[in-house]
Amino acid sequence: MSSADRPKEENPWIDAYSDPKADLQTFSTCLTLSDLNADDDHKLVIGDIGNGIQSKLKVFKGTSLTAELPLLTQPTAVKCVHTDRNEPRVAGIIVATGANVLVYRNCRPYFKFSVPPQECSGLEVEIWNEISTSEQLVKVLKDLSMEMGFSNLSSPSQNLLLMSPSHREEYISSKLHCVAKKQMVITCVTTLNKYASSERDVSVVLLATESSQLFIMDPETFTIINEFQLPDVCCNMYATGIYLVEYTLILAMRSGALYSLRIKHLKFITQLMTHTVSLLMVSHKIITANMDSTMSCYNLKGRKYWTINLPDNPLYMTGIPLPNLALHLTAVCFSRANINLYNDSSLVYVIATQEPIHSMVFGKYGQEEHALITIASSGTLDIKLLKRTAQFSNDYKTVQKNYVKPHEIKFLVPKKSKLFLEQSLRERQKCKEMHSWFNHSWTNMKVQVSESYIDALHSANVVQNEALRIIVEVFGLGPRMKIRTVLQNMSQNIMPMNYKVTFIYDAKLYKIHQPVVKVPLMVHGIPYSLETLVTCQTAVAGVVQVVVVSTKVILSATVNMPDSAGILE
Amino acid sequence: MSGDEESDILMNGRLGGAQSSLQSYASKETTTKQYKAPEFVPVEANNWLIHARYVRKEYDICQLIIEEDLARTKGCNEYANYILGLIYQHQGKVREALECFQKCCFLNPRSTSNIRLLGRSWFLLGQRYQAIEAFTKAEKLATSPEWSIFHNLGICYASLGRVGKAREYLTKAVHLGRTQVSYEALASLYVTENDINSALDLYQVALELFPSSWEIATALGQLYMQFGETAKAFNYFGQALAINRTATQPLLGIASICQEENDFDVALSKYKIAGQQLPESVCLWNNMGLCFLGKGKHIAAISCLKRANYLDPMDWKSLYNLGLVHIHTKQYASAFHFLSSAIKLENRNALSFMLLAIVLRRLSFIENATKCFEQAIKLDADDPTIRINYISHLYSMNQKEAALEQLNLVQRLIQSADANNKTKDAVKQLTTVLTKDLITPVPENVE
Repeated sequence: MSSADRPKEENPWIDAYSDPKADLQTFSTCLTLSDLNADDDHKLVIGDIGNGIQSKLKVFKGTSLTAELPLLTQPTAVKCVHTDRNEPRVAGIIVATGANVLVYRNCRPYFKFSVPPQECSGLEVEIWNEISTSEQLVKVLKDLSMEMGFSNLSSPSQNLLLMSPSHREEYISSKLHCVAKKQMVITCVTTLNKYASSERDVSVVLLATESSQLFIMDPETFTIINEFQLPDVCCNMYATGIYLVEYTLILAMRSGALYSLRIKHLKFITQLMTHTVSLLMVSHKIITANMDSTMSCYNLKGRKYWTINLPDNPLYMTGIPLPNLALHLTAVCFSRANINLYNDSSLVYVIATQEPIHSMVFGKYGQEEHALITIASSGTLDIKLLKRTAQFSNDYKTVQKNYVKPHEIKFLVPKKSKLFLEQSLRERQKCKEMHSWFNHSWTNMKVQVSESYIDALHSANVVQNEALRIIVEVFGLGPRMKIRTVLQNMSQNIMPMNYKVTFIYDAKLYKIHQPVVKVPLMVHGIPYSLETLVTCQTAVAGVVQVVVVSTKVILSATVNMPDSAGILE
Repeated sequence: MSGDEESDILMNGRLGGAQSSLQSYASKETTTKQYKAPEFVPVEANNWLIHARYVRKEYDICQLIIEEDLARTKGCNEYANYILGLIYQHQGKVREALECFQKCCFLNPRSTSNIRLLGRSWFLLGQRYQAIEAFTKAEKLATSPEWSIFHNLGICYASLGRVGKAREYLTKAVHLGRTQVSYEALASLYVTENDINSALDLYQVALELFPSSWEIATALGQLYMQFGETAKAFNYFGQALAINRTATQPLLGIASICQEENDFDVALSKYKIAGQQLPESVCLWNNMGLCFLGKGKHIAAISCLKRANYLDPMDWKSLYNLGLVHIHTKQYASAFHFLSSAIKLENRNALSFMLLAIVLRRLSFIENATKCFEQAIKLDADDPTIRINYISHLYSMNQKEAALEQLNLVQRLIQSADANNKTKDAVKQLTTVLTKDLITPVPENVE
């Protein structure tokens, strides 16, 4: 690589491997790095959702795919944890899907754990227990769903109601033993070290569900060791610490609220005005990448440290801990392209990419300490390694296209021509003459106008003619509206005069502020617009007739007024 | 085949019709016997996916997933409807969004957030009473008080002009939520009520809570500027610019303060930056024109003012300023036109009449000039500059007695009000000229 044609800014990343044909489609939550075989060679585990039809669990070692397992349903999250403390420390792959957590070890299915369903209202259980005929059951459940809301019913009830009637009987007979319970759906998963902060130790698995619950599952025994009721459905979690010592869990809710969970105590942090896309915690600071293209930082008490605008919509954010540089960077990938690396709120590096990065993960890969693995929108797998000599400084120069430095702005004050200057010189010398000439021609014009007006008056006529065009428009939603009548004289010979516009309407419904509008003398071809305000008296949509009259009715048009119900009290 | 398995097959067949992906699960089940396919997919099964796609703003894919999911659940998935409503709202299809939220409310009548969004849609459609109805319902349903309900109720009442109720709810929202939007809404309500002190206090509290908000700093600066406390206003504008160096409002604020302090170069440099974003602002061009006038660059001033006039021909201020600049360049014929158009648009401004009078005098329309001066004095009797110009006009017409009368009035005016040095000098000069004329001829007359 010749150093001469490299830009001054040295690239701290080595492009280790790129496979444009990898054809991977996944979320960052289904992407993880782990030492699966306890051979100190970290593997990449991907829950590939494919094209939405066939999901696969893929394991990459180095540059090649070493294992591929089919998945029955789309994975919500894929994580790697150590399930026991036996030597060798073989990590298990955890795949969360639906209500289940599938555990794989040595790339073979090992255990299936299901989150227990939630009890539903006693009334519903009673209904299921007591009523056995399908028609009656459906009827009672329908009533219940009207009262409680469909979403609050148990899963069997929901299913029964959605089912086509011919299947219901069979469903009920096969389901008689089953209790009306709400089936769980896992929404997000994270892991937390159980005994010590070593990465080779056992971790507990935290599972948030659609029914606003948080379960803590111990993979040593595959039991739920703790359970919390959350105020809302959690959509993003970040955990730090050690479960049996001290831990902090940050939860982002679907409503945009942030909560913290520290040693079994749930606490409200703050309410965001937008939704979080991604969540991180860097040395007791919470960093959120938000849907409104901002990144903000809060402390655990909810005080905002900073907010910065991101150049684009963030798709995911991941932490890049670099302990040897005493840095903890934040990488954000965007919906158009590029990955930006931030140190706190300042940009330290931009990794330019050809296409948007849909998911990424940072960590140990193979023997490398610092690898950034990205999957682009086209499915390209890309592995970048951080150089050992890499340095990041806060004064990274960004080429901002839209911002020009103040002293470089050239403001275009319109230039004046030489002719203009000469004219103004002449005006200085001869302004009195100019002004009297102006007065003279002004008077002349006035005379001419008056003359032609008198001529017009002589030839003016009041004739009913088809050459009059009328357009009526109503503006506004009410209660105050405006009716605009546009009249246009299409005939060249006749000048209609002494016309008036008036309205036929129900006085109980409307009040017209100017019931009679005088029409000026109408010159050929020019539209004349006449306006009046209308106020609704009652919340009923009515009809207003616009009439053009002189000595008799010449034209009329009917207007359907808009419905202003709801605006009036 | 046991009954259990039969039902599984039935289930899969039913669901497979609705969602193609499940067909593969069903077929997969026969080949891989590791796990049974789920017995039935719960209604909420894809919510996490919808949410993930939604927050990534992948609206197209998200809408596809929602469509598929609503087909599967026969439209009964509350969250899918909810997100579809939000997407519609984002796309500006408020009516469609309203329908989605109505469905949500039907599916889960106990959820306050559904009703809140329903109210929001009503509000966006301009149906404030319906919006208030929805929010009040949400308020009753909510187990614990929610700031957003109070905030929205406050906004609804404020837009209906019911200030008391609006203040009550917004205060509640501020105490409960401590969000920037509520602070801003309440403060602007105080401003419309003319309760400036409360507004200032509130903005200051908000600025402490949200130190990185340039909007609040700007609002504070603008309030202080209205009050005439330019030093404080300058500080807050500076604070706002430190956060966002290209924000136009604080830039314009600082520039106009500099302009007032006759620091034209600084003002112009600020206008330049703001002009990048506001190339069509009439006020900006007008003020730039006056800066150039202050620097004595008449042609640049005329260019800028003409641009302002071109952008808004009905703005009488730029016309008035054009008149003023043309008087400076001694182009009285043009000045007359600009001033007379300015007066046609706004006939309550005394200074326009004064300038017109000066122009007319220069054009030797003495009588009309006198009429204009009289009109100007009628509109504003307390302005010494008008009277000073009138005096010199009277003096040039040799109406010394009238001039002296006016001089007395002016001297009284100057004593009662603060006048700048320029006016005082002018009055002194006039006094010496008039009295000299008076004193010398008087002895002759006596004799």
